[in-house]
Amino acid sequence: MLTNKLKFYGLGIGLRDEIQKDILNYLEASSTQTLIQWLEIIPENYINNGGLPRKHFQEVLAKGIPLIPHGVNLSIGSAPQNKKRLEFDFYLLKGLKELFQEIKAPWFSDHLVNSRIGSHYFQELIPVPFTKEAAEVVANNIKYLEDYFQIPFLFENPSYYTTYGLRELREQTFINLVLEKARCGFLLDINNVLVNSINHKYLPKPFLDDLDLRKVVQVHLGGLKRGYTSKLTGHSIKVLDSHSEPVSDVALDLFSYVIKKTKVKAVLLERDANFSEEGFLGLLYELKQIRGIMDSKYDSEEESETEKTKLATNPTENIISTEPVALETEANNRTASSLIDNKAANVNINPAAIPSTSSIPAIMADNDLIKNQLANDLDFLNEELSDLG
Amino acid sequence: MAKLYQIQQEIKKYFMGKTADPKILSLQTQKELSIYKSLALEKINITMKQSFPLCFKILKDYWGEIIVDFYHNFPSKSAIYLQITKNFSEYLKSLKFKMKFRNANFPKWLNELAEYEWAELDLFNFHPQDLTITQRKKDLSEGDYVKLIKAHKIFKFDYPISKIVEHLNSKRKIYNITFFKKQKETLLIFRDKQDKVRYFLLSPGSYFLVDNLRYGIGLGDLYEKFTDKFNIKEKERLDTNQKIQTLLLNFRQQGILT
Repeated sequence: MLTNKLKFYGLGIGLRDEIQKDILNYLEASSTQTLIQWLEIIPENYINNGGLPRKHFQEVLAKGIPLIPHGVNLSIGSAPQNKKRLEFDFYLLKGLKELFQEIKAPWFSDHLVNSRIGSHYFQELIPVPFTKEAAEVVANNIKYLEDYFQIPFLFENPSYYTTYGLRELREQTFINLVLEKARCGFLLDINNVLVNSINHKYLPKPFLDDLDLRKVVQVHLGGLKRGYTSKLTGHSIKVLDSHSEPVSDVALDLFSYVIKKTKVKAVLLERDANFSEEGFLGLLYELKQIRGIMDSKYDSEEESETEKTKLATNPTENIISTEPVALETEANNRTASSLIDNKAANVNINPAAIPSTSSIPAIMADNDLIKNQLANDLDFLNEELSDLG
Repeated sequence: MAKLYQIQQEIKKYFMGKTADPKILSLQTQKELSIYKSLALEKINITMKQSFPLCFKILKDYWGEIIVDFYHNFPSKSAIYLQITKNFSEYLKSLKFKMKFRNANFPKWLNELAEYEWAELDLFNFHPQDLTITQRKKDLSEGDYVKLIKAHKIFKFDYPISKIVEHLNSKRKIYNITFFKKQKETLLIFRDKQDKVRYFLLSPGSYFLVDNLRYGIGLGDLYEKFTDKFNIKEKERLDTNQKIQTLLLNFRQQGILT
C-alpha cells in the first residue's frame, strides 16, 4: 500500500502504563508547543479491555493527540502449513481492526518476526531466517493484513540473536526483498541496527546504506543493555535490545545519518522499562535531543529548498535527483573509532527549537546524570566497535 | 535446506521443552534461541508475579519451576494480556499442575484463591461500556427497576477466601497457611465508582437478592420474591423491605446498581 502520501507526525513516545499520567500532565501543560506530537500504543493491550489504562487512552484521544499502533503479535513471519491458507489469529485481527478504526490509525506496524506458531504464542519476538522463502512468506502475510485492515503496514527490522546457521541472504538484502515483494512501508529501528551490528560484527552505516531507505516511514530510537546470558544454557550475547536505557549517542548519530538520506513521517523514542531511574524528565531530555537533530535537519532542508527554487529556473534542474543519495559517502569508509569520535559533533541540538515549558529547567538538572550514563555506554560501545575496526 | 514451516515447528518443540530435531535446528541454534526463551520466561515470571501476588506468596518456593512448567505445558493461545493471565489461573487449577506438584503440600484453597485473583484482574480491566449507570436517585420506590452493572462476579467458595485474602494481604508474617478450614462463603466481587475492585460477603438472603439483580427486576417484584422465598411474616415485611432498600442504596453508592 502506498505510504508516500502519509502526513508528517513528528516526534512521539510510547503510551505506557508507568508514564501515562506524566504524559497527560505534560500535554496539558505544554498545549501548543510540545516535544510529544503523537503517541504510540501497543494495541494488544487495549483490545476488549477497560479500566484505568483505557480511561487514560480515551483522555488522550479526546485531546486529539494522534495515536499510532505498533503491535507485537501479528507474527508476520509465521509460515502456514498450506501456502494457500494463511494462518492468522482472527480473534486478534478483529479486535485490532475495531481499535484501528476507533483511533483512526494512519498506519500500523509490527516486527519482522514470528511470535506465534499455529495457535501457540511465545511471548517473544523470534527472528525469521534470511531466506528467499521466508521473504515470500512474510510478503504474503503483509499483503493479506493490508487488505484486511485497509491501512498501510510497516514492518520493523528486529534485533536478532540467531541466524539459524543459514546465510542464504544478507540481512539488508532480505529486508529489501520483503519491501519489494510486499510493497509496504518500513519502520527502521536504529537501535536494532546498532545491537545487531555489535552482536554480529558489522558496521552500521554501510548496512544502512544498503537498505532501501526510501521506504522508511517511521523510525524507532531505543536504548540497549550490555550483555545478557541465557539462564537456560548460559549462552551470552554482547548487547540486548532492552528498551530500558537512554538512547546511546551512537544511535543518535545513526539517526542523524538516516534522516539526512530520507524523509520520515514519524520518530519514536522507545522506552518500555526502567522508567524510575531518570523518570519522565529524563525521557523529556532525550526527546529534546532527538528533536534537536530533527530540527537541524529541517533547517538545512529549508535552505536546500531555497537552493532548489533557484535551480528550478536553471537548465541544470534535471541533475537534481529526487532519489535519496548517500550524502556522506566518506562516512562509509570511516573506521569504527571515528564513528565514536565524531559523536559529539553529530548530536546537534538546536536550543531555539525547544519549546519553553516549565519542565525544562528541571530536565536540565538531570543532564549530567544522563550524560554520564551515556558516556559509560559509549565507552563500552567504543570497545566493541574498535574490535570490529 | 529445511522449509520455513519445518524450522518453525522445531522452534515450537524447543520452546515447549521438547527435543527439537538437531538436523533442522542445530544445537548451536538452540543455544542461541535460549536467549529468547529466557527472556520469555522472565516476562511471564514478572507478569504472573504482579498479576497473582497472593498466589506467589504461597507458591514462592516453587515459583521458578511453576513458571517453566506453565510455559511448557499451558502455552498461550492468545496475544491478549488478560487471556494469558486467565490461562495461568486455569493452569493453577488444572490436574496437570496438581499432579506435577503433588508432593508440595499446597493449600487446598489454592485454586479458589487463583480464581479470586483472576476475577480481580478481569474486573479491573473490564470494558467501560459495561459500567454505564443510567440513574442515580437517592431513594428507591416500588416501581423502580433495578439491575447490577456487568462489572461484577459472584463466587461460591468452599473456603473463606475473604479471610485468606485479608490474611495474605496483611504485612504480618504468614505462619500457617493450612490454618484455614472449609467454610463456605459467597462473594460478590465488583469494581466501584473509583475503579477499585472490592467485594461484599453475601449471606443467603443477600445472595438471593443479588442473584435476582443480575438480570434486572422491579423493586416490587423483588420484595415479593424475597418474602415468598424466606417466608417473611406480614408484620416483618416493612422491616425486611427497609433492609433490602438499605442494601440496594449501598450498592448504588458503590456504583454497581443501575
